[in-house]
Amino acid sequence: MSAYALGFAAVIRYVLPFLSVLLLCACFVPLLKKQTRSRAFLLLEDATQQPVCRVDNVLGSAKDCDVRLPNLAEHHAVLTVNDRSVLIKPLKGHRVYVNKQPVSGESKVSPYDVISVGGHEFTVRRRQSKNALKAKKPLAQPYAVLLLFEFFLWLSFVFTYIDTPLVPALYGAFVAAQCVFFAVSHFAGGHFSFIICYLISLGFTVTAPLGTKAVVKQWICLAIGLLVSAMISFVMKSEDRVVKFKIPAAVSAVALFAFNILYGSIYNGSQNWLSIRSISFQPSELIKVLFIFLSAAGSQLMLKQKNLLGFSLFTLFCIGVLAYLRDFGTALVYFLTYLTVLILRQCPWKIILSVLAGAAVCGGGIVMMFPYVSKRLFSFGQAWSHAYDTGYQQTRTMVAAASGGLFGVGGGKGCLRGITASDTDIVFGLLAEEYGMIMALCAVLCFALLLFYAVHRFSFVSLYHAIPGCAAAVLLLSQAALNVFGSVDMLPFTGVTLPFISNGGSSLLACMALTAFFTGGEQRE
Amino acid sequence: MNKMTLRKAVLYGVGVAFILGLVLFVYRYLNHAESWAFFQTNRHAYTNGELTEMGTIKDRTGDVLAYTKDGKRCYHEDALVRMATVHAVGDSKGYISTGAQNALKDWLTGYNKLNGFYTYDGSGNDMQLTIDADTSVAAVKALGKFAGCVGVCNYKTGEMICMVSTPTFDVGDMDSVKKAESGELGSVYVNRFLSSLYTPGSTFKIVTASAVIDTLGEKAYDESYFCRYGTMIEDETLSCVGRHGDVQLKRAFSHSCNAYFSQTALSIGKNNMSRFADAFGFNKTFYLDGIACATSSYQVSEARNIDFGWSGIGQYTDQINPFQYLCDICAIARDGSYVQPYFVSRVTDSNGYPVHTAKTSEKRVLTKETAKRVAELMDYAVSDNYGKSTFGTLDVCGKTGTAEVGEGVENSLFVGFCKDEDLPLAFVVVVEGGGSGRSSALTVANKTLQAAKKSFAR
Repeated sequence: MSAYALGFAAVIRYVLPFLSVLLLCACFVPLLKKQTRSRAFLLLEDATQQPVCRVDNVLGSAKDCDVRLPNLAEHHAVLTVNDRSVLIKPLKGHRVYVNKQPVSGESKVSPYDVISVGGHEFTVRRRQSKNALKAKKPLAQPYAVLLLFEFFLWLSFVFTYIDTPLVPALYGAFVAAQCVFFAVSHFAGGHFSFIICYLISLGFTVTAPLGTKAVVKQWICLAIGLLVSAMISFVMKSEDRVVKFKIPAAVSAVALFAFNILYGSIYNGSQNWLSIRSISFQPSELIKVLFIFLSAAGSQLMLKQKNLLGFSLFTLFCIGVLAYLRDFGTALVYFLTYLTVLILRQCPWKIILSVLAGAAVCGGGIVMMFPYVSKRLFSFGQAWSHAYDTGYQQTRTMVAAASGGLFGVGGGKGCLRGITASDTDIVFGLLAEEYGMIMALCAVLCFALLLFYAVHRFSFVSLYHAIPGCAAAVLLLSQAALNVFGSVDMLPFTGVTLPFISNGGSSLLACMALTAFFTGGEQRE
Repeated sequence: MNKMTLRKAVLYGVGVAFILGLVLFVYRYLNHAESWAFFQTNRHAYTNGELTEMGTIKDRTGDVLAYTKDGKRCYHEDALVRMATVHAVGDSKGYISTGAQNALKDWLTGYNKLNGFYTYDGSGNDMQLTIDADTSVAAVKALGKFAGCVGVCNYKTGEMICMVSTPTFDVGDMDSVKKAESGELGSVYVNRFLSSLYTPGSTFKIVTASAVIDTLGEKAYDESYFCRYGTMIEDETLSCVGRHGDVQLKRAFSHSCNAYFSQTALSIGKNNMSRFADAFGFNKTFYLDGIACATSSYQVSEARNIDFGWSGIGQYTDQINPFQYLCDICAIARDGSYVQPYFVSRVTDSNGYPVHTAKTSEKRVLTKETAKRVAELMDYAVSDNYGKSTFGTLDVCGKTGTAEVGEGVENSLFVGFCKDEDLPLAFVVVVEGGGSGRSSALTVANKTLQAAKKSFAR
């Protein structure tokens, strides 16, 4: 390496973690601010005001309504206030009038239209749109930090991967594409998108030393993932479409599993790989997306309907197949996501607890049935005394993490790269070794942040739109937890990937697709 | 939707639990990073289980003692130098736990928790020792087949000139390495100078004399006790090798009279003796460049009078650690306080930028006056008893000791220092099974000092 490259590496190792921490803080701050400002208000006939806080608001007299008015049906209508328009939709045949004209289905409301519902008459007034401009402004800071981070990372790629100039070029292209995306979409997703871009950048650090081919593959999967994500967003924009796609989604999930069972190949003890020609992928990764989609499909804006039976049966099927394929880590991820859906769809606690108890019994049964599982399960916490067999990967992860210190030994220089699954199952160690503990922790903290974002959204979008986001966040977080804590011997080592960061086509594709669930609901038609 | 508050809280809780898990991991990481990093499969430090990613180790004069070439750890070309310095330098596999290559491997590899194994250009750090190879060779030769140790330290600066322990082995000779691993050569991995405890025998009279002089002042010189092959303490006999008659401090010290020193210990009492043992660092752990040494002991609180008597002449349960005792001798040779000894003078990264430079501090053991008087006693012991001419032109002060450690087995000890301005060396020599202090330990000390003199003249 030239003296320039060495000198640059000596500086950049402090810059990147610093920017990471800065970015994380910048993205965390908005979570602390309470969403106190309402989006609009109802101006009632007696000149009183009723604030409207969410995008989708249920009007009615029941306790769980967003806007409560006396003399209405329990759940009477849905008032939608998005960035573009105000819409009203009567529920279950209740009557709603706009300018004395009865409406059926969703209909647009102009600022001075008088809406009559159950003896109330009101107009909907939007809060001054200045706020909207102001709201965009705080994005400038984290965006600048993100761009700086990406710029320096790109520079370090240029210096490090001199032999494969396409690698920095491809990463540069990603950054450019991301900039275009933000410019065109006016920062769709906001802070959330910044975190995703940060995680994808870290994914590039993992694949970059593997050569051009790996990076090209990553690019392709990113693009496909984004496309799928756009498609999902489109479908999610209308409740009717969601219902329409419900059955096909379930069927394709079952079909994928069937293929997996019939033609799957065994890798690392679990039969979760499917190869078609030279392309191999993990169906369970793609099914995750369908799974989250279906978690939303059952719920509707109208919250009364709590029919979870279909979804429960589907979950049971998924987990059963995964257990059969011996992919217990992923099975656990599905289960935790399912629990989240149960919790958010207001399933009674009694049932949730019985589900937990049932799962515990089944889990116990599996452990007894498969000696392979119990061996892995009971060797955790003792990796150092099994450093050459069951604790092999865990000990190597810890060794690598310690070798990197807080700032890492430099991209591509990790000794962990020689170990099996270093870029997937134990990628946390690789990240810590090459880029330091600070950045590795930042990366992992992102997943907690994503969950906080998803939950935070409850205060301004409807439950219907927040549930899939939360389910996706819990899915990513539980996967991250199993990956990280499994690889450092604090949980059983299950061999699930670290979302966005692990090298793997289907994993990245699925993660990209999942992002659709986080941002849905802000811009409805 | 107010019902959602609890359910939202559950989800927040999941996120917080995850973060707490990370906090636990970071806690573990901070506690164990060092031991994780130096796991034997880590290629940042090891090749085939041997610690190789380290820089060069040089002796005082710049002679290269160890270096890495083509992924292999190599040592000095002379077998005797290798054997004499192995305990200071350490072996490739880290079996000598107190050797620099094991105990100070973070300095040599450049590892720390902050930067991990990152170094500017990927190579390890170089280490400059204060050890003198020639002096060490002379010490190993002088010890010959005996087990034992020789420690020599510059009492003005704190530099360790020699730190030799026998039995030893040759790190550069595969045959010798294998024999060492099989245990055929004895406990070669122990650096006796740092990790052993010895019964001090008469060398402990330095402590007793200090206590007496400090407690009684001028009067200490007038006190006399009667010795006839020993003395009686409560109907029990405490034996002495000679029939010294009425004996006073100066002669008692030079002729190593057991009767005098046991009686005088009794006269000043347990409290005073314990206080001085503490001042000399007994029951405390000493460190050489952060490497912990074995902890010496002086415990008389439960002792009967006869046992307390024995303790005053370095028997009973008294144990010294050679390094600890060397520090004390340095203090006596100087002005009652010693300069904290060190054997690593400098660690530099591959660009020559210093990452560690020896820092010394002073620690007081005795008052200036007492130290001067004890030094005079040691001076007198050599001139009156062992003979100054034994050491040629060197002006050596010292005290011998013989400690019976088993049936007919006696350890021979000699501790002392040179008064010469240009050779300010303090030394501790232990020859296990070497017989009386006068015979073997004195000879070993002399040979080592003569070699040091030659080496310093160059």
